[in-house]
Amino acid sequence: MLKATGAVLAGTAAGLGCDSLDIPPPVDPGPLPGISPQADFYLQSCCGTPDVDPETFTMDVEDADGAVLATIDQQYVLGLTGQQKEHTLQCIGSNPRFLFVDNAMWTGLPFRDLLDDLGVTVPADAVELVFWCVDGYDVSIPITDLDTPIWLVWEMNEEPLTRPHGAPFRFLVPGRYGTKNPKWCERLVFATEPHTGFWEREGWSNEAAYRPNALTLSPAAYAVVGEGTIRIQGSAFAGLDPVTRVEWTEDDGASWQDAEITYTSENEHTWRLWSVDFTPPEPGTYKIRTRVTTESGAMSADTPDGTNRFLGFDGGMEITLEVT
Amino acid sequence: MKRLVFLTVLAACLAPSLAAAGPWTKGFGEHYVKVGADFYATSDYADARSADEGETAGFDNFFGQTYSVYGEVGVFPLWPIQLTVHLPVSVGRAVFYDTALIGDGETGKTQTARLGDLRTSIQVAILRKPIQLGINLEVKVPLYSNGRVGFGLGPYRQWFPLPGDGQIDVTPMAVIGGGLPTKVPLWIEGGVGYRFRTEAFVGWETDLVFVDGIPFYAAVGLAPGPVWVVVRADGIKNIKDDNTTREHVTIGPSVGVTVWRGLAIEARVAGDVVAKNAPRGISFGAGVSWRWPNPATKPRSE
Repeated sequence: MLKATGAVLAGTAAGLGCDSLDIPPPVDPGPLPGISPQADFYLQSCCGTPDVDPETFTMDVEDADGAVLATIDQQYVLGLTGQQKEHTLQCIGSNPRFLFVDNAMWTGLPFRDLLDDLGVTVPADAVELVFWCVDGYDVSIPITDLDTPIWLVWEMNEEPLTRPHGAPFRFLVPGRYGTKNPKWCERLVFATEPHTGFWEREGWSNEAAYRPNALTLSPAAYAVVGEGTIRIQGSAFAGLDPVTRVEWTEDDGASWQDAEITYTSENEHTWRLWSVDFTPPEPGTYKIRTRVTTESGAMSADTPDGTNRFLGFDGGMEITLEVT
Repeated sequence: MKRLVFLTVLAACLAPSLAAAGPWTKGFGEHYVKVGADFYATSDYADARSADEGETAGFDNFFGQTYSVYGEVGVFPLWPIQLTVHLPVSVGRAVFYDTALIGDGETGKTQTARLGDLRTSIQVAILRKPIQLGINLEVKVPLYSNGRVGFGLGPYRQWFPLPGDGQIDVTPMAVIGGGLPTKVPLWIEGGVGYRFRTEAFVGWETDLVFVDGIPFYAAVGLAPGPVWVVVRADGIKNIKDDNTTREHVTIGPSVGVTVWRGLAIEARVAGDVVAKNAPRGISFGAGVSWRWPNPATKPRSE
């Protein structure tokens, strides 16, 4: 026997025994904000939040032989005049089960500007920047990313970074998933040899370049709703290649309709938010899938779960609506 | 994977460590039967791996109930040999959060009710004087199908507590004990064994691999008249480092009182003092038992 209480009536006989499920009905959060509050911004790190004191934390910039070329601390960055930068971050492990994507307005500076200010010359034989972090994390990016440019930031939405978000400062690396955007870096090395980082040793992409994808942020991936119109909202992102179109299908791709873009930005490397008002014609089960197209013509894969998770999610998320 | 491990160890907490009865192996016709209810609650999971920061899905708390029938009977007329059976029905209730399924700040509840693991054992007395020494061989056989738990409930299925790990286990164990020369009847007992994980699963296909372990227990009991009090510690230690298999030490007192002939009421409480790959919770239980012959007429020191 199977029983569902509360908002749910679903399922079939479960054999000898009794299972029950009680979940709340979905709540429409209203239009999603284009800028994510810091308190709601997703958190992910390899090893938890380290016990870092932002006031005493330092980051050494070193050459390949370990010679310290400069040291950066909170006092130094707070003495700089930062610039505002809107920037979206997405975890390489984000997928329909882990909706790790957010957008914020950051305060910081291109890191090359800081190196210039500190009188640090990038060694000519450097091929990578290797970040060694206090929590045991390590990661590398090509030295050419300095000119993307990568940023060192110390505020999110005009608030100092909280410790879980990397206080006193963290890096933003345009075009690359969150794995390449380290927090709590204590040693930054101009490496002359390629380095394989923490997650890359586990098989995740070393390039970690964003791939076009759409995530449905509301309602949940499996929701039970009553009859009437339900608002479906989500994100669409492809890194430096702006998303220009979001479409959705309710018939497994036989036909596609345009979703309404509800948030866009003139700033590069920012997400698009989209919305669909869906009115199910009758009770039943509906599967709503999305796909995105970018300015360069790239599209998300037409598979709800993406193609190769180690390269980052590239699907158009599908949700299931049980309409009662 | 982590969630699956959690589910299985939750289920394990509902079950007794052993069906072994202690070192006093029953003689022919002697028997002990207990009908009981046990409850287990936890909101604390001790994972051998670090917690995932910002995890958007997980268990908030868990409450389990087990209703069981337990029996021991001496089956051989010439020498103490006993059979033991433990048949439980378990009800596991979990409160979970899952941003992707039910949104931020919301929780859902799942409940699974099933027959649990049937534990049967045979115990042979090796020594009866001056101490009690016995060898017990227990076989655990799942009576449920994990593959059917939450069936038909889509992605919510992963949040249903499993009745058990679904694996057949074999556990030989040596048990020893005896009365102490004290004015007040006092006894001690203990046991140590080896749990073979057969890797034979019933009712589901899983990639989980459990490692063998060393189960153990120790208890001291006091029986002044019709009332007895026991403090017992039991647990299991994995034979090698492992991030899946439950390790724990649980300790707590129990009390019983004989109300008429061999009829008694029993109650116990226990807490997990050591836990790895396991929740750390508390359990309590109560039961009604029938023992024959009445221990009041058969001193523990025999």
